[in-house]
Amino acid sequence: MLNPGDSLPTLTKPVTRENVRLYAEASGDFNPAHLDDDFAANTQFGGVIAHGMLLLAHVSEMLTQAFGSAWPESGRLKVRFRAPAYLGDIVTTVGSVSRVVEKEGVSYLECRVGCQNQRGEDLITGEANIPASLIEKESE
Amino acid sequence: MAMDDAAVEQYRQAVGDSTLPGYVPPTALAAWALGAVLKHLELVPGTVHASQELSFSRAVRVGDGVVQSATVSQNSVRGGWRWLVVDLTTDDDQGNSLLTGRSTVLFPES
Repeated sequence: MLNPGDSLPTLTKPVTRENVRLYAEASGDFNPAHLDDDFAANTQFGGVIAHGMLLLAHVSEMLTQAFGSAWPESGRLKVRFRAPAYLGDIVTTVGSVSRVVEKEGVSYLECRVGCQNQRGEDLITGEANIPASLIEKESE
Repeated sequence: MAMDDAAVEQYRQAVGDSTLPGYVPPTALAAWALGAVLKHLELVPGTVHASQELSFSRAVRVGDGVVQSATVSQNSVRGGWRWLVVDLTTDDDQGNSLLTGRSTVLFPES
């Protein structure tokens, strides 16, 4: 079982036009900021960017790799989208166990989670909580 | 709606996630609920997904029946932006909560 100070597994994924198009079709989010070069050029970002929820899916995958079914069974997540990922960027998830917290009589492993681009800039930052009892059951 | 195998596989392929086969990736549920809302909004250049909260109560298997809803809980203007807060829920077909979430989306106010 992971303990405070331990790192979560790192995932590295490229952001490609094909990934973003597939994600739009899979999620139903056809915001032209993710699909239309001309539309995206007129935004504050100046170009096509990946869906924030696509990046968050990578963070969630990291949490599943770390905690197995305990994550979708009873996990909690709170994140901010800090900066966009552009086509051609390489996104890496980051995560570490920060502490054990008691909430309403339940012990949770609190983790700092997020993802960064290839320049080390934060794209997503936040925290996730997973019930310690489910993690213990998972690792038995 | 039933968690259709093809839709789950399409999502998995898009995000490159092969963990926990037979289950629906938890962010897929949130993405579908949020996508259904965004479909009905006029997305102007500069729209930003600012933050996301998610809380899961049970893992969802492929084939499970779920009921999803999205409710605008806040719609206000601050600092030149329209703040739209959308509450997301996914329940099983017995009415038990599977997921709750909150998305904050900002639109530039012209």
